[in-house]
Amino acid sequence: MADTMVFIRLLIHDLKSKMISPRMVILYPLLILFIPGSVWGFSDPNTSLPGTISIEGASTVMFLSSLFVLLSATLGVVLVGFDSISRPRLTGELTIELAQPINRTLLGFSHLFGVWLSVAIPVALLQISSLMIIQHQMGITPSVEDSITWVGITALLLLWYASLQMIASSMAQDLGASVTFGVATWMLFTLMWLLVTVVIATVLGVDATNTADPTFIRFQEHADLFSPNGVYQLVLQNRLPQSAQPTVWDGWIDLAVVGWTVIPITYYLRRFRKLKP
Amino acid sequence: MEVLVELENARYLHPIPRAIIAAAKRRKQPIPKRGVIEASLRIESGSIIGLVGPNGAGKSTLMSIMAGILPLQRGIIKSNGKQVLSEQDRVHLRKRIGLMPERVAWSGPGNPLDVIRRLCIIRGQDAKNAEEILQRVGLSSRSRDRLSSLSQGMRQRLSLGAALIGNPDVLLLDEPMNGLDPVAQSAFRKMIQEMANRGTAIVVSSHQLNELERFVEGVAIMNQGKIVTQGSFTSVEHDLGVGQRLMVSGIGPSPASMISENPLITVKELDEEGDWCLRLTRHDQTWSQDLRAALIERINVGSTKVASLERVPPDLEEILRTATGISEGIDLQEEE
Repeated sequence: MADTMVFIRLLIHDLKSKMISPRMVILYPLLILFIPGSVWGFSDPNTSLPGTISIEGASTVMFLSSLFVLLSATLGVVLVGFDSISRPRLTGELTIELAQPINRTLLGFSHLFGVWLSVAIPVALLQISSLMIIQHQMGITPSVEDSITWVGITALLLLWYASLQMIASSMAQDLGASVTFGVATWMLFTLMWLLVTVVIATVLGVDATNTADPTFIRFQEHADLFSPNGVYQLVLQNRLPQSAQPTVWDGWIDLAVVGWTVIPITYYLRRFRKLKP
Repeated sequence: MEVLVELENARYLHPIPRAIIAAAKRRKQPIPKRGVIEASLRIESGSIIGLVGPNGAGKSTLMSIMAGILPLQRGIIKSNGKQVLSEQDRVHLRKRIGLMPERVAWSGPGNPLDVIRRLCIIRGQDAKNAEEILQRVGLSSRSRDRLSSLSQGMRQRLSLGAALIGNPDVLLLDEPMNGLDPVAQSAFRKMIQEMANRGTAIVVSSHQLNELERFVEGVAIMNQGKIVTQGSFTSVEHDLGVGQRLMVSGIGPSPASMISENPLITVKELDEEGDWCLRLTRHDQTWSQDLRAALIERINVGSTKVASLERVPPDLEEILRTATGISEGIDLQEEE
């Protein structure tokens, strides 16, 4: 009980300092522009989207705006978390922290949650305000299930990124390596994943010359299970009308959500428990 | 005195980074040996122990072991007589220990007050105590300054403040006087003495042996990962067989070469006032009254006359040199 109270007090202290840190202050306008901004645009009845994309309700707006969440919020986690362990380790501050009478697992969690929630809380607030924008623009109230899925899976996505970032930060011997690892991970899943998918598809003999081919789409959906961004979009895609839903089995998506939540956190905590200053 | 923390044949092997192993394999060189710390040490309440040794001797690692940061590969660590086994035991051990590591380069967007408040929270203390801690280490006027604006001395004070949170039973201070100005050093010594008088055990590692000598009551000498000897100054001198020294000065031709003929006496010429000044170290026995009288008689030949003769106890530097085998002529020892 006492440990839990210490953990909560520590988390609140860290959140306060992180949420008003210069990095977050720089990030806020970007998040506002990308999340409510994109929702504003997609929910405008006069918006015409390229190709066959059409807005069929609030869930489509949420799905389309997820691309902007992937571009801004996940980068925010990288920027907030890249040096959260490597910097105090380099300066010697971590030695003092590790010498304190607190369970290492709790301390590891406080670092992880500090990074995660400092981005996830503002993002969730912006998403809630975006729901009001949808209601105002489209005149429809997003369903509770859609809203919870959108806010919840976004929070989970940020947790996945935060845990990957903490692993990188605990491995890095210098700040350069830490930021490189973080940005490279972000780029791989955000910008390069389609390329990786195409390469693997070609190697495995799947025709990747036509990305609209049902075989390739099916392959891509399965490949997406190995990317946090992919899992995030598959979950949101599942809330779309039947014709736009992914073909991959729901069970795989659920398993991927559990896997992306449990495996990186477990690995990070294992590393943190054995961390040497 | 109550034994607060005790290490019994504690052993820790430094891991070798994979990059170094890979580099050694690539160059077809032997993989470097792992640094080993093997130590037994008793820390009693109210004691002030100086932990001394050359660079790379393992002093900081030993402190990390005592602070419950590094796990033991072998041996025992006891806290108040109870063996520390689990993570929960280590948490209890850390509750009783305040660690001030060497040269913490406090940085980041926060300020000293934030740092101490955070550590107060982790230690389960009221965050309001932070102001008092900063006052104790003379940082209250800088409590809201950015960490990056602090000087080295200020950062040392902040690290000391971090170690003092929660009034620990044992204070482990690694090079605490680095960067402190003389006034701060004096205040630091006073504070340490006061804490020891209240029963806090203090282990101080320092290269500033002259400073250390002014307030430590005993020493533990480390070399190549091992504690070579430990105890009070007198017992360590006895264990090491450090001979008593005489400082002899006089007028006329120097008798240095004549005294050097005796293999049991080491002669060192010092640059002091007078025609000559010698420091004589006897390795076989103490300078008894008879030996001193015989020495004066031997020197007072011709125009050479002894002007003064006094006994000088061995200093910490000499004890360290004797214990570690570092010769006086070598200032920088090659690290292994």
